Amino acid sequence: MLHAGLDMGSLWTKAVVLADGEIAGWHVMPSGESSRDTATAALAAALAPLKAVLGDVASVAATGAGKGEATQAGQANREATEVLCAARGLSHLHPEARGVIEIGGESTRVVRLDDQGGVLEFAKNDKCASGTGIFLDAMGKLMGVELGEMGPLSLTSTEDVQITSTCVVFAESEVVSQVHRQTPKQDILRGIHRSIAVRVHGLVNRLQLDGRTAMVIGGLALNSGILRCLEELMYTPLAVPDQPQIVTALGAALIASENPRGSSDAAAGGNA
Amino acid sequence: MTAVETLASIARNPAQVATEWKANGGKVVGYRCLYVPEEVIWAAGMLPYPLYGTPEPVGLADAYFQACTCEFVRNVFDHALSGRLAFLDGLVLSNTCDVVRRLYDIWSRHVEATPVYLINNPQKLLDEANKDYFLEELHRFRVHMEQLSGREITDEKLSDAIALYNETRTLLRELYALREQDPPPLTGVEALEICTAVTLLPKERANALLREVLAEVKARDVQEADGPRILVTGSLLDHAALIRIVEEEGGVVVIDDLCNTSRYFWHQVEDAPDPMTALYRFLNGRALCACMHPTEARIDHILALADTYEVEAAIDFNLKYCHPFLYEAPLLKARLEAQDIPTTVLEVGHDLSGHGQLRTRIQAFIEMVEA
Amino acid sequence: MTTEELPGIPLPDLKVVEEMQLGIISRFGEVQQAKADGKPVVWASVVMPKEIFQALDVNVIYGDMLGAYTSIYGLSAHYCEVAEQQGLSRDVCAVHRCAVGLACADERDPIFDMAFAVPDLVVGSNFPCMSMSRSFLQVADKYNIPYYFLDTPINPWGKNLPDHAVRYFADQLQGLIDFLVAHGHTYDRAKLSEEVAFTKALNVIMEEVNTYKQAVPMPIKAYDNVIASTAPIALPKEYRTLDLFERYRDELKERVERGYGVVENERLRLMWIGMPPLCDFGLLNYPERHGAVVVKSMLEYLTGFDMDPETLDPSRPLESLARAQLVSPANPTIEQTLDYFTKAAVDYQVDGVINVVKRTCGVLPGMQRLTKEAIFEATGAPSLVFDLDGVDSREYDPEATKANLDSFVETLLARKGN
Repeated sequence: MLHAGLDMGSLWTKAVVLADGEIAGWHVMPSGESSRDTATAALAAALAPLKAVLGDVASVAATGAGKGEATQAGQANREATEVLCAARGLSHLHPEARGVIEIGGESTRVVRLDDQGGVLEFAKNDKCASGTGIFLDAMGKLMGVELGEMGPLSLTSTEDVQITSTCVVFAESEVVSQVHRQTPKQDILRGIHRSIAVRVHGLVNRLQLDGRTAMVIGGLALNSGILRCLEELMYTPLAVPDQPQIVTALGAALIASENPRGSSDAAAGGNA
Repeated sequence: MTAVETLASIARNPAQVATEWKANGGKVVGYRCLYVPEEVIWAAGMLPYPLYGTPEPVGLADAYFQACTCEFVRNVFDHALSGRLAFLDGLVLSNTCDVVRRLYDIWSRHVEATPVYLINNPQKLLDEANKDYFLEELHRFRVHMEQLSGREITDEKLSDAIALYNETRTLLRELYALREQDPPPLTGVEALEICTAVTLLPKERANALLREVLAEVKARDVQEADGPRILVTGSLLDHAALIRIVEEEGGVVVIDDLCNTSRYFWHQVEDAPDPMTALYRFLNGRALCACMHPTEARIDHILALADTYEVEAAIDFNLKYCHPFLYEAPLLKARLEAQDIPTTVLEVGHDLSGHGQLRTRIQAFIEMVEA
Repeated sequence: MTTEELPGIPLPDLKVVEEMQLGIISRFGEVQQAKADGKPVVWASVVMPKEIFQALDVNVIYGDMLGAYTSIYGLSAHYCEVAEQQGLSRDVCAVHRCAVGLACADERDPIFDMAFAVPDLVVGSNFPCMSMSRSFLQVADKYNIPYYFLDTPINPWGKNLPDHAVRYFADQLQGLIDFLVAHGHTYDRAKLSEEVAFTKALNVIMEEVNTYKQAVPMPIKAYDNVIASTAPIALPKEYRTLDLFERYRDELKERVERGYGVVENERLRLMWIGMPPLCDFGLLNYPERHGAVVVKSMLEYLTGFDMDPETLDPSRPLESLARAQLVSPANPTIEQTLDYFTKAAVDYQVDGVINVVKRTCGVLPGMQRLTKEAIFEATGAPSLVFDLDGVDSREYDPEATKANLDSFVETLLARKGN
């Protein structure tokens, strides 16, 4: 039996398909302007390896900023919040995990888990762009560096460049002045990555997550530069699951497979 | 190194004196705020250590305090969590503000290595209606210090401590009196660092150094300074960076009303039938902190300073989220400006970030004053 | 005027609570009438011992409560701006900025114009926070009027209060009485004893009410609960009868006896610590859509009607009032606050705790970690801690707030295996 999960972020849309509880296909694409079109395309692409279509799927759960639109458009038949999906997805892959550090495009969230994978506490940063991919995106454009190159390039840095502002608006002017000073890009990048890591670390600290039992997920977990900075702040190497950017969508798919109906669930309440 | 330089270097490394004292087998008792009578700690043979922070961003304390609270306290608690205050044998806090009270709650549960004691002082001062209450609290504190030190605090030891501290206060008053001159022979940065160092030192040594400082300063060949004479007020400045900015932008800081400067030494302990009553009257006679009532006493005191030092402008460096001072700021400003003293209230962080913007604002203020 | 006609105020569920709500609003006009009758207007706070004001028949404006009402009516942005124009930082308590703005504005919205009269006297206090200790100075300064400061010791001793503290605070209360007498009031000790006796009797009723509120399913909606808990202080004298609260108790008792819950399928019981969004006061009922009910909130202890009646002895009125204030869960140090919330979490069978702090609050920050740990240790109930400023409407983010509540409820249900 097929089930699917959609994580409709503002920047990226992720889809995961489960066949009898195992990951059978997945897809990641930019969200673009029409969430309806993106959801359709993402699901289709995730189903393609199975030569299946949306009608073959028993249940689809949507999460993320665009979850309401997906259920309204009939692409998903239930909703779930990102916190629960991230927790469910990670504890499915790694039952030993006791913490989730999700660094996504628009928001950062950290979750503390009990030994059943249940959520004990969570904290988010979704008002401020400083801790997330939007900031990185903006800085990358400013410096003419592709997102995918930023991590590896920053790891070659040998100088400490401080980006001290907590606000992306002010941080941008600090970066501009560094560029004018002809500071090497890798050093500026490391400063930017460190600034993001410090914001994330602030949330980690509030929840007192143990770096040895927490794992990092979300699109930015793929950025080796941010990961290295966060490890330095936490004094411990950090584990990242395979395909960290789809873990939340996986969690949604699992929820779809466990609770196919979904009408009595909390997440539907946003529109009630 | 001159005595002024010696004291400056002590101020910049606050833990140094205390760690040396410990290495010599002594005990150190941390404290905040000014309503903790140091003389009682000293009479027990222990070194009082006023808590100071550093201009570093807060990290570990974020797991306990929200970011929307006093960064000074959060920074100090960071130090405690990271072990930098492990040299303390005890901590004493007074009933000052919300965050200090919260520090008491959190410290007592999460820094078990250092026991914390709270002096529950009244907040309505000057009036002796609080005498029985306040004296009882001070008496309990004395007993606690005896237990912590393992020594008896006799009235004689207390009287000796009071005399020693009074000497410190007299010397600092004498130093500050020199700043009435135009121009003053001492910069605001030097004054702040001298005071801070004195708060950290055992007072015999402090007094000896202060006598040298007085000699050095009196012998100085003072340059002309034509910037406006400025009064700086606020809660506490644990480093001189902000005063330095004011002076770099042309202001002449002639008097500072801060917990670690003039408020520390402005009044003497007067004679009384017994030393505890003397200390009670001393503490009860100074309503200089914005946490204490009556507010009029604090404002009148600042206006009197402004008058004595012939101040032309005032800057209130208000620590961000420091509520008591923020509430009083508009009242203080109105009273100063009624005396033709332009006043600016600047909300400042505890670390060095944002100093670029602050400098611009200070610059603009000084230009406006000079115009 | 029925409750439906009042803008911004949610509709209570219980008829008796609707009666209370109308009563609270009807009191608004009393201040001006009394001033016209020559009685001095006193600007004070809801968290001061109200028995003194009632016994001396003081024409009192509870400034902080009125400030809170500006937020409930959606007007907080305006009054905060007035306070800020007067020099108050935007970083100080929003409730107090609303109160000061209301007091010092040149013009007020009609409903608050009705509730306000220029004060002749001010009473300030440091209970429970430094904002309380200072904001009144703006009002005293603006109108150049005398003030009395009620100095309240904090409580590091728990339930065993030492004599010197009780005596000192009782003296402070006597000082308040003397101040009021010196400015046109008369004091009759017998009347004060009566007021203390009334509060005691009311708290006996409230104790019984609490047993009904602990029933599963929860028989009263969160919003109603808050109104009923604060009503005793906000009601005009003629409404404030034991009979009213006995009827309230009886309605709850009846609901419990027939097993009636305000949510049909009650799945979760929540506790709310911190200020709920006053400018979206109905949000307290929001979790109901998920089958979750807020069964206990911090607001219930603020005005002193969730206290142990044994503390009050009408034959020793000042000493009783002193003791009651000192041991209040609102009085630092945190020991009594932790005891209160831990006991509530157990008694009310709380599944999860919502613990919010507004950016401008001075006293609540720093409490979250300690309450979270104490409650978890006692009951295993998790806490959701997040930033919520719902007093200054400019800072309120309803979407983020609801998303947090949704996430929390969902994760609690998942943990419970629902």
